[in-house]
Amino acid sequence: MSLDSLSAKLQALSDPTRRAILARLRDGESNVGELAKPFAMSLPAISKHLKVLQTSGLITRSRAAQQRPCKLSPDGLREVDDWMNSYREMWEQRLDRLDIYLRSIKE
Amino acid sequence: MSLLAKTILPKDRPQIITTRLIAAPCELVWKVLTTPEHLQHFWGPDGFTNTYKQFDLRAGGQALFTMHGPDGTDYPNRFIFRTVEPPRFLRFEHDNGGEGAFDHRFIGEIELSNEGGKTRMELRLIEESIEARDAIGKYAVEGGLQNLDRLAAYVAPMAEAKNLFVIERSFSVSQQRLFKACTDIDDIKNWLAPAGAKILVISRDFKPGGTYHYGMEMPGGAVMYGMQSYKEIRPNSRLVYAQSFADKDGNIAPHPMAPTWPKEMVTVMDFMPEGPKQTKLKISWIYAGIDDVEAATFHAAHEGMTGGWTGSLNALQNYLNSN
Repeated sequence: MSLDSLSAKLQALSDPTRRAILARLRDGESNVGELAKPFAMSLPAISKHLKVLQTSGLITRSRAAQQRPCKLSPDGLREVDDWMNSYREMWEQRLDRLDIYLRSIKE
Repeated sequence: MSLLAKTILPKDRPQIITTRLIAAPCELVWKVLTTPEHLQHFWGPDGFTNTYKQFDLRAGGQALFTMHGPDGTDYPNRFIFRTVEPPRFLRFEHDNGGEGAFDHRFIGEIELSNEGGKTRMELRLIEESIEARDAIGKYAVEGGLQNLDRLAAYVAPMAEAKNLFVIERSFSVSQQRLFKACTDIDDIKNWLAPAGAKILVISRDFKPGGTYHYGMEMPGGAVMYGMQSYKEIRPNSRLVYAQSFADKDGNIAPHPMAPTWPKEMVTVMDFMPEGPKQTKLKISWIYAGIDDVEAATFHAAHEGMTGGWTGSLNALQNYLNSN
């Protein structure tokens, strides 16, 4: 299935293991072995999750080092954050306009 | 209008079969279908509520209840249960219990089966003859589709809390005024669209089961179309509708910016009085569909909307900026 960039990120974020990996990467870059430790999962299973995160653009992996350490991609996360806020903001703004409208008319 | 429920009218059997996949396990669907406190909210076509007098769930036991139609008409109903096999199969005889002018007699069957953690529900109305079935067809067909969709929307947030997202705001007006501001098209035009944008009403049939096809004309001239299908209208207190993006002809379309966004979302607006001139508007969005990718998109957005992700992402941004 081909997904646009935002949808791929949303889908990547929908999995609790992947969210836990992202939370762990907040403390700095890390490699597969270290990332796998807190989970009762095999290295290939964790690698698969990392692949999803990488393909969606939420993390980047270095090609230089043999361990291929992972780190968060600020641009990728910003896209998700902006979009998530937009839906709520759209409604908050609508309700602001409703409030102004109701104040402007007599009952 | 139903995206997920379907009707089958067999040529050789006097049955009306309505079927739909529901995003909840069989045990939970069985529970809400056999508990009056739950049934009263969703049983029946769009706009109906119910009052239960008796619910004796065992072979030979009876359920006595009144269905309240959206126009105020009351319909007495009786089920006599014949087979009760939790959480899979229910068979009952249906009549009006000797009360009321309207007596639609049939044998009802509800069958639930597990499909990958979701529930396939089949509701079968078995009529006396094919002629009787065809005579009663239209209202029973439409009512059956609406009934299953209402059940699905009711049970979805019980199955998964993230299928529900709520936003609330309090306004300094009466309940009546707020309800009118949110339902009267002349009022809506004054606030719903952002500055410079314009609401285009293509068609609007404001009643349970009716639809509203609209466009939002953006300042640059581009129009985004949407469709609402009204499920419940309780004057001054509640409005329920299914919301979708659409094209100009009223066909359901994906979200123009995020194609995995739910094709349909149920919106509930509750108007709750807090004083003579103070009313709280509670808006609930429910994802009641069965698509895993749509569900994941809604759940991820949900976490963002409720601050779960926004909070942690902000912290993350700060961390990244400081490094």
